[in-house]
Amino acid sequence: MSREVRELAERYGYRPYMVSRYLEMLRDYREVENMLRAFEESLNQVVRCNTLKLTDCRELVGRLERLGFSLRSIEWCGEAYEVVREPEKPSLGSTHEHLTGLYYLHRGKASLIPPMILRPTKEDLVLDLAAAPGGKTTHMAQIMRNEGLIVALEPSKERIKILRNNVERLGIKNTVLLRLDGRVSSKVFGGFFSKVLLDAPCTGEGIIMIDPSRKTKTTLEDLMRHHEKQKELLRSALGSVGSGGRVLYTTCSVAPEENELVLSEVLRDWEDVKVVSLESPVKLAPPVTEYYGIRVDDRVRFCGRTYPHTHGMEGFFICLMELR
Amino acid sequence: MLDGAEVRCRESSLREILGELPQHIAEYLTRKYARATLLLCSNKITEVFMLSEVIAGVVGRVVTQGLTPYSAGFYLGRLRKSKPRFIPSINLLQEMFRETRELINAFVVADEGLKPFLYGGDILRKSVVGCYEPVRKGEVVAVLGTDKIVYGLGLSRVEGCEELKSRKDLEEVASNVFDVGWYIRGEARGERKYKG
Ligand SMILES: C[S@@+](CC[C@H](N)C(=O)[O-])C[C@H]1O[C@@H](n2cnc3c(N)ncnc32)[C@H](O)[C@@H]1O
Repeated sequence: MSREVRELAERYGYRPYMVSRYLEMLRDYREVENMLRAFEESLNQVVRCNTLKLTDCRELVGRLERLGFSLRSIEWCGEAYEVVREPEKPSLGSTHEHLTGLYYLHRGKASLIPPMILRPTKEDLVLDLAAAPGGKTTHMAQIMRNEGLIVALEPSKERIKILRNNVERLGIKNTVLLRLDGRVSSKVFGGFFSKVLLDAPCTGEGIIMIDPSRKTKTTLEDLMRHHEKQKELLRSALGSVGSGGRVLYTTCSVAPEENELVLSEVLRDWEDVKVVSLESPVKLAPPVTEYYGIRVDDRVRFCGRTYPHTHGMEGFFICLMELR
Repeated sequence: MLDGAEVRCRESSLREILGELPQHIAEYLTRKYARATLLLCSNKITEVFMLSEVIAGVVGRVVTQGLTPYSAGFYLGRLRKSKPRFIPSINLLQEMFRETRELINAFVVADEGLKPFLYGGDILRKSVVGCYEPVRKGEVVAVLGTDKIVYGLGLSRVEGCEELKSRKDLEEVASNVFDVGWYIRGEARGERKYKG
């Protein structure tokens, strides 16, 4: 490991192996530092207006402004707003508007993108394979106008309660919540679904600005455990759609081990899966195509990323696949 | 909230549970959803969900595999063996009030009274600025804000709006059964306090 890497890791408080990988990924020392610096900046929270309860989101904006909040529209997502100023009280989580489900609170903008790319309609049979706390389940329900079907899986006893609370708070009626491990979905459902969202459990290496403990929490072994589980989940996701069905894989991590390498290894056994070029509401950065001498599957080149230093949002990876 | 292992779910219909519901809710549901498929999930209490056709299909598939949905479709409320026999969900009440444009079996509460209510507090006479019959002692009443949004449910301590008027300012007229603060406080919705 180079002295430069060690110094950077020490300066920003990371485990050195992480920074070393970032250099391999971005191939430019300055860009790595830019990313680490961006992880030190806090993000504006995002309010997603609940169009199932409100016909005009300006009503919500007015109500929040009267409480002392300042909101700024996000130009690529009509119903979402960045919160640029907050009063001392109330907090965004405790307003009456939040409690009565007039909005969902996101910690950053990037999590709005995956449902907008998957674009489910009320004709779709949708599976959300790792759903709690439900940011994306509820966003998809909104896009589907509360019709059609979303089966949302979450194995954690505590987190499925939170998921249900959010689903009810927002007045959502088109979901079936199941306390189930996503790895068995293909066994339970076969190729029943037309669209699957897999927002895989991950190290959170893209949301360090929200949770700085992630600079040191994850060991290399943890990272590899995530990688193995992500592959199993992706196989199950692909096995849960029928012909022509789509699977959107996403994580809030910048780690290639949790993204491109997962795709690359799984797609090897799925010749009949193509990666669809992304129609994204924001321009995405290209994926990593080579990493420590490993050339990833050629199809992965159509996946995309967001970075904190270039997009001003969480680091996300997004990939849309289609079964022939 | 019901917990996994010992919960049993089965399909049902509105007709089967109508007798358990307060009249105004039974009438509303019959008018709007007479043919709907319901799902009843029980252990000590019974949660009632309404399913669209596509959701009923999936739930059938899930149940035949020995799995139990944690929730499905439109949560209508819970049935109990003793009084109050039915605790409607916030979403059912909100929909019913919006569509019928009529308040019924409800207290409208001023902002000062809503604040403590949303932290699990009870409702005092002085915060009630509107009362809509029927209001029965020991039965639930909807709790709305002056914005006509449903903020929760109370257990009425008074028999009718006339009796409410006769109460002193600081007297408790409804105890907290469920309030929307529970969605965020994340506590378990237990039977003891008739949550949910
Ligand atoms: C990144 S979070 C999902 C966030 C969610 N999609 C949202 O937008 O709010 C990943 C979730 O996967 C859950 N999870 C962990 N292991 C899982 C498994 N084997 N199958 C399905 N979900 C799993 C975690 O408990 C966590 O709630």
